[in-house]
Order: sequence, then C-alpha cells, then structure tokens
Amino acid sequence: MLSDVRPFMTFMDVENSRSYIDDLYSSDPDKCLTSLICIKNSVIGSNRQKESVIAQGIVPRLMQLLKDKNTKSNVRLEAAVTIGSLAKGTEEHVELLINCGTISLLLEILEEGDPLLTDACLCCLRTLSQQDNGTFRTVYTLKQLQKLLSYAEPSENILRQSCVASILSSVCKSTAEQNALNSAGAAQVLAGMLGVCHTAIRIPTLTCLAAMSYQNCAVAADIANTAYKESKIPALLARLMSRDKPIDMQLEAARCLTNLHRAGAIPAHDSVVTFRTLPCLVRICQAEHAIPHRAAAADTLAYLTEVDSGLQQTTAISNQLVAALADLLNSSNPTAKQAAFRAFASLGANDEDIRKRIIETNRLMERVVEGLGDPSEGVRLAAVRCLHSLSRSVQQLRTTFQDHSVWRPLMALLTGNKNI
Amino acid sequence: MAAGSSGRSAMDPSLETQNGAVDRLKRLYPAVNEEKTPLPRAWSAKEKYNYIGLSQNNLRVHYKGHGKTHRDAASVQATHPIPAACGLYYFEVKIVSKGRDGYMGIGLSAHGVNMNRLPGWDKQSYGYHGDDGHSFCSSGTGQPYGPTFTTGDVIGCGVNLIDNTCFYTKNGHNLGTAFTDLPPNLYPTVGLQTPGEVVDANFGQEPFVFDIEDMMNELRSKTRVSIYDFPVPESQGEWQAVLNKMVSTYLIHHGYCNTAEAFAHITNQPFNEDIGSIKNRQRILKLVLAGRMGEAIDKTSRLYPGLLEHNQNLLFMLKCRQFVEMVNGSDVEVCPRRNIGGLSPSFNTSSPRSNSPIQTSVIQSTKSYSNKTKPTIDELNNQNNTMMNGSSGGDVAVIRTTDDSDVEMDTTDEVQNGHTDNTCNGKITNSSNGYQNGNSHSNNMCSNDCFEEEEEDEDMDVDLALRKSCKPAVERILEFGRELYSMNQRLKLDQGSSDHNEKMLEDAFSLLAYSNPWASPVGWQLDHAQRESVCASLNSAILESQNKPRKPPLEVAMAHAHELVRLMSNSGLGSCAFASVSDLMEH
Repeated sequence: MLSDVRPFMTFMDVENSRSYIDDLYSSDPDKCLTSLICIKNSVIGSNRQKESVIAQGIVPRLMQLLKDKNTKSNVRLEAAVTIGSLAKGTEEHVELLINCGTISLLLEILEEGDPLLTDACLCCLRTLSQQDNGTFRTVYTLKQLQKLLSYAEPSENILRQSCVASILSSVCKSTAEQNALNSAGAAQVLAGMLGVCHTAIRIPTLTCLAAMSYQNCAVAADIANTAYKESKIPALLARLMSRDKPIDMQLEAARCLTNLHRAGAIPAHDSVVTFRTLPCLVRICQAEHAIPHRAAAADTLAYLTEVDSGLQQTTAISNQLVAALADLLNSSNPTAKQAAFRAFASLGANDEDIRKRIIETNRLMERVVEGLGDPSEGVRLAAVRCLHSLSRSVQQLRTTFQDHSVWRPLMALLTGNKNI
Repeated sequence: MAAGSSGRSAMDPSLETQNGAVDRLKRLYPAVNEEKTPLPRAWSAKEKYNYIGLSQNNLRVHYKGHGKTHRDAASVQATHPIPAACGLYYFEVKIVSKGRDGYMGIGLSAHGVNMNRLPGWDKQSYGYHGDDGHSFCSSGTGQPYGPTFTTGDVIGCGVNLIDNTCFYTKNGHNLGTAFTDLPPNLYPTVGLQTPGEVVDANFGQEPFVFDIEDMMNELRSKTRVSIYDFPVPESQGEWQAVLNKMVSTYLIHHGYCNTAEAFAHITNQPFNEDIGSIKNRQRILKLVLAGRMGEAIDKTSRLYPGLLEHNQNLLFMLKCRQFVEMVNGSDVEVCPRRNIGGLSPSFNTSSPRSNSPIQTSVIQSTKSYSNKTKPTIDELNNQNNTMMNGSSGGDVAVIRTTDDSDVEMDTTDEVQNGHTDNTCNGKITNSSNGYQNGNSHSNNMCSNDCFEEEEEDEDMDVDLALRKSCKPAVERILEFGRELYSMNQRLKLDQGSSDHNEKMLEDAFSLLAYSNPWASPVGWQLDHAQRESVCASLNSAILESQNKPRKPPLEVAMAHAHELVRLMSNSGLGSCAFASVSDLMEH
C-alpha cells in the first residue's frame, strides 16, 4: 500500500513544483528570479527537496544562468546561493555537482571580481570542499590557488578569509598538493590570517596549516620559518594554545604543532613542544572537558608521542594522564575509545616503567580485551595496536596476558580481519 | 626563565627596579593587601624544628640532625600563611642536594602543626615526598602521585584558592591535582630527614620555572565569563530600564544637560528635569574646570545664595583653589574699571556693568602690548573665534574682547555642552591662554553681567592703562593670600583647627616660594586635573542644597563594587584576585 502511495506523492510533488520550475527556463529575468528564490527556499534544509529538484534536472540550467555574464546580477547571485544550498545535501548531490564542472565554473566567476558574487561563490566552494571526502580529487592550478589566496589578504572581509582557509585545507590531501599550495605562497598568507583576532578565521587557518604540514618535511620546514610581524609561526601557535582561548582553537593549534614536529621541523626538546603543546593536550584529556574534545586531544597526543621516548616520559610523568585516558575508555563513544587505545600504544612503546604503570591501571587489561571484540573496526585495530605496544615488555606481560586470556579475541580477530 | 615563555611572562622592564623582588610579588598577587595579610617571602626562624638550619636570607634550608629514623624528621614553615586574595598561589623549591637518602617533603601545613614531622603526616598537613613520589594527605601512608625527585630538580607547589585544590610541578611539568578540599590559611612547608639535604625556596622573587601566568590567565577569563553570564534575578524588574536610569542620572548629576536630554529621548525615558537649574550648575562647573574660580564663586553665590555662607569649608577650598589658579594665571579677576584694586575679586556684586575681567598672571610679559594694539585685538578676536570649537592651545594673549565676539561665542554654548576638557594651559610662560577657552564656556556670564559698549580703541587704551595701573599681579596675589590666611584663622576659631585646611593652605602658599612653580615639588597643584575634585565637591554641595543626592547611583554602584571586592579579600574568598573592577571597565 505504502509503495503505491509514494510514487503518487512524488508525482504530486512534481506537479506542484513544476509551475515555478518552468519559470526558471523563462527568458524574463523577473520570472526567473522569482522561480529561483522559490526553489532556493524550498531546498534549504531538506534533502528530499534537493533530490527532487535535482532529479528534474535544474542543475545545468542553474549553471547556465550563473555562467552567462549577460544575466542580471541578482539572478546570478541567487543561482550561486542555490547551488551552494544543493551542495549541502548528500554525497550524491555533491558528486553530481562536481561532475557537472561546478568548481571550475565557480573559479571562473571569481575572476570577474563582482563582490557579492565572489562572496557567494567562495561560500559555495567552501561547502563543496568540505563535503569532498577525497573521492573526487579536485586539483587546483597554481593560478587558481593564487587567486584564492588573494582573497585571504587582510583587506578582505572576514567571510572571504575564513572561506579561503577552509577551501585550502581540503586541498592538501596529497604531497603534490601540499607542495603546490606552499609554492603558491600560502604559508605567509596563512600566517597573516593567524594574526586576525577572529575565531572564524583562525580555526580554519590552523586546520589548513596542519593539513599542509602533515608528513611533509619541506613544507613543514617552510612553515616553521615563516614569520608574521616578527613572530614565527610556532610562536604564534603557542599563543593560540593559551588556556583562555576556546578549546577548539587550542586543539587545532596543538595539532598543527604536532604535525610540524613529526614532520621534523621542530625538535622534540624545543620548549614549544614540551612545555606548550604537550601540557595543552594532556590538559584537554582531563575529565572536565567534553568527550569529543578529549578524544581529539588523545588522538593528537598519540601521534605526537608515537616515536620520541623523551616525550613519552614527559607525558607520563605523573598519573594524571594515564588516569584520564583510562577514564576515556569508559565512554561509549567509539572515537574516544579508539583515541585512548592509540594514546596508550604510543606511551607504552619504549619505556618499561610506563608500560608497567599502564598495565597496572585498574581494569585496563579488561578494557583492552573488550576492545578487541568491539563492534567498531577502528576500536578493534586500536586495541590491537595497544596490545602490540605493551607486548614489547619482556618481564611481566606474559603472565598478565595469560591471566586475561588475551589470545581468544586475538584469534577471532585474525580469522576475521584482513588488515591485521 | 619561565618555561615556554610566550612573551607575556617576560617581566615588563619598567617594573624591574631595585626592589625587583617586591614588585614581582605584588604583580603576581595584586589583590592582596599586604598590610592586612602579608605574603610569605621567606622561611620562619621561629616555626621550625631545631634540626633545621636557615641561611641566605632564610631562603635556604638545610638539615642538621643525625637522621636515623623518621622521628628525626624536621620541617619549617614560611613566615606567613597564604592569603586567599592571591587567587592562585605558587612557590618553588629547588633541591640543592638530596643528602644521604633524599627524604625531602614539600607541601603545606596549618598553624600549630608539629614541626618534628615531614609535611603530610599529620592532620592539616599535606606533602609530596621525593624518595617515593607519593603524596601524603594528613596521613602517614602515602598515595602514588608522581615521580621521585632528587638533586637538581625544581618542585613547585600551587594552591588554587578558589576551589581549594593543590597541584605540584616538576621542572616545569604539571603533575596534576594532588589534594582537594584544603582548609584556608595554610603555610608553605618543607621537611627534611637525612644529613646533607639542602633546599632553596623561591616565593616569587625570581621567575618560576613553571608557566604559572597561563593558569592565572585562565582563571581570570573564567571569572570574567562568570561575571558576564551572571543571571539577573527576576526580582530586579526591568533590567534595561534600571541601566538607562543609571546613565541618565549620571549625566544629569554632572550637568551634561543636552546629552541627558538626547539620551532620554532615544531611550524613551521621561525627562522631567529642570533644564534651567542643570544649565546653571553646568556653567558654574565649567568655570571651575577652566580655572576661573573667582567667577565661579561669584556665580555660585548669586545663583545659590547662602550655600557658600553655610559651607565655609567648601568656600575655603574654593578660595584656595582660586589662589592656585591665580598663580596659574587662569583666574579671572573681576575688578572694577573705575575702582582699581579696591574690590575683592570674589564677591563682586556691585555694579556689574562696570567691570571688565582682567587676567592676572604671575609671569606675564607686557611687551606684547606696546604699539600694535589694534591689530592685536583683531587678531585676537579672530583667533578667539576660530578656537571656539574646542581646540585649545594657542598662545594668545588675553585681552578681553569686544561685544561682537562675545555674542558669537554665546551661540556656541550649545556646541560646548558636555565638553569639559577645554582646559587652560597654565604652562605658558609668556602669556596665559586659558582665557580663550574659558571664555567660550562662560559667555553667558559675560554677556549677562559686564559688558561695556565701548570702542575698541578706548577699550584697549583703558585696558592697557588698567594693566599698567592695576595692582601688579604679584601684589594682588599676596593680598588675596593674606585674605585667605585670615579666613583660615577665623575658621579655626569658629570650628576648631582642621588639618585638611591647614595642608591646603600650606601647599597653596608654597607655590610662591619657587620662581618656576610648575616645575616645583608642589607644582602638581597647578595641573588641571586638580580642578576636578573641587568641581565635584562644589557640584555635590549644590545638589545637596537642592535636596538631591550627593552622588549619582552609578558612582555609588562602582564604589559599592570596589568595597565588595575588598570585603571578599578580607573574608578569604579567592575569586577576588581575578575580579578587578577596573580591569573589567577596561575590557
């Protein structure tokens, strides 16, 4: 019965919407504008409506309206905003838009320099780039990157600057892209944006810097040497990690410094790492903060301390972190558990004393065993990594592992998962 | 040496004086009133067990017992307990030598705790020990807390006086919270047990290894957020209306008539004030702020008869100020054209039309009045007019101008409303120029009382003549000074002596002892800012005589807030350290 009704209702929707969608194709700009506004209002916040209008094939028409320079500017503006709204839909919507060549169209329009249109296009580009989870691999040319960077100048308005920062952070997926962005002069522009006292600008900038320097030694070195008003970027980042800044900002700045350190640009014994980044992350892992923040901090901490034993020892200098991470394992959030396991894995990688303390933590081994059987794959993998790290212990773990019958879930994992 | 210095933790070099240490502590704990609750700065030579030896200004502690068992443990407390007004207190101990076994304990203890023990073993005693890294919370059995520590390590102990918790640091790394629910008034304490143990303390005299300022900033911003977000209780009624009323009463109190009216209009408040009386007060206050005390006193006595007679101390203060302003050269001496020098400047009630105010200045050159009199006046007029709109600072000689310019100035009265900073610049040696600005404010008075319709030439000649034949300024001042002195004597007889009056008189008279009063040690009196307190007192007195409150509600609220913070400090409420009213005003 229901399945009979649904096509009927879709039919009704189509019938209802047909009238104003028809006007979209009219050559009278006013009718067109009205139609656009109706469509825009109907798709905002409703994936179903987005689905519906896209199925009726309006996207090419929208792009045509946008592309044509002779169209009235308010029509073009509404078209851009509507596309932006569609871009907030599902993955299929985004894929469709990208396949239609939306991105290059938007970049072309930026060249025209119309202020309102530029704002709308930048917002749209930002939305598309945020939804782009890497399957589409949009590649920007150097010229396009430079054009984008030009909108991040201090003279530009806040919206533009924050849009550019967000767009650029999604551009850094591969080494080549990171290098391209760096050679376009992004480091200096981003350093300038860090100086703007606006959270909406700073946080995407931090994300971008972190993405640029991830596992890229050359870019990281460049970034670490870039200065803005006599302060080098690491010093600017250190200031953004102060306790009175918003937690998100502290986290992003810490992540950025972590990436810079792991890419070799800042040594482990540098005070900005040992006395600023590390304590900041340890602090955010504490129970008084929200779980998502704690998970993010633990994750970054895991990456930070993965290799250097000095950092591991400093992090584990007291019991406050071990206790906080163990507490994180109590939450039901899989990201949190995953992050905690990873952090333990890093901490226990080299030092016997630390391993001993981790193992002796109340009920920790039980948690690890539970984690090996967790429904989430990420948690299982993290738990195994943790176990692997702890198993480097020569002295005591054999008995502990025996006691906790670790082998059972391990066998289950081995037979189940190919990745291990 | 502060770890991870972000630039902020570096001390401002201007604060670094010979008493660098004193300034550091005051900077760390600005809300502490050291006269009531002194800060600990060294170990106490009295509150210590005899196995403890002190040296280096009582900052170094060493053990001088045999150290055989735990019964040989010895502790020492600091000279004073930690005041709650610190908000976040921190001190560091450097292990100079761990001695034989390194059984050092660092922590806190209350007054009267047995010093023949290590910190943490007894009630109201808390400690962190170096041999095992355990924390001891009023018990002989410790809990694992942190790493062990030994020679060369710097252990810090921080106390959060808002939530009464304690944390430790080792070489700049935070080890986490050690104790909670601490009682108030704890003393920093250190304990040793084996021979050779030596530790040094830093109570803030030197920069810390740990970045304590970051933590303080966090507490400060948390406190600020809780102040801003504090909910207004329902019972307060219409909050916005209350705030509007506070602003408008403030404006009216200080005589900003037009602003008050405009504000009332915009915020839809009724404006039922007597504009005339506000304007009267405004005029008087402007005269005071311009330094034209003679005219101010005169006007006050005319508009509010009996006020000054009933308030002789106030009158005395006004006259002292007038004296100072005479030295400054900004007081206008209201002296009759025909009767030179006969009339006292303050009470000028007779024949108003016959007067023309003359500037009297101590250091005045008459050279400029040689031959070019007429053009000078024109120039002056022009300059006068152009300077109408508030920019002071021309070096213009101060001859009284003609009627025309007077009338012109009148119309700019509206513009000048609320403008109290067109003050006279008494620092000119050549001629006093404050007159100009004072002029534009007080034109009402001028146009009201004294103007003569005389030709410029005659004016000038007469003025010049007056200037030359009117008593030389210095003599006039001395004469006034004598009057002032006799008034003081009279007041002493009537009311008994007043230290305050004596001091005012003495300070004022001291100005004459110097050839350059502005550069003298008592030169501060000549600063225009000094007029403000006189102005406020006069204003309050006038309002009081009209049965209005002496202070506007806004000022009462501010004073109340300051008092409350002080009360917090006295009552041991730690948050007062981060709740500075002036800080909040600045942000």
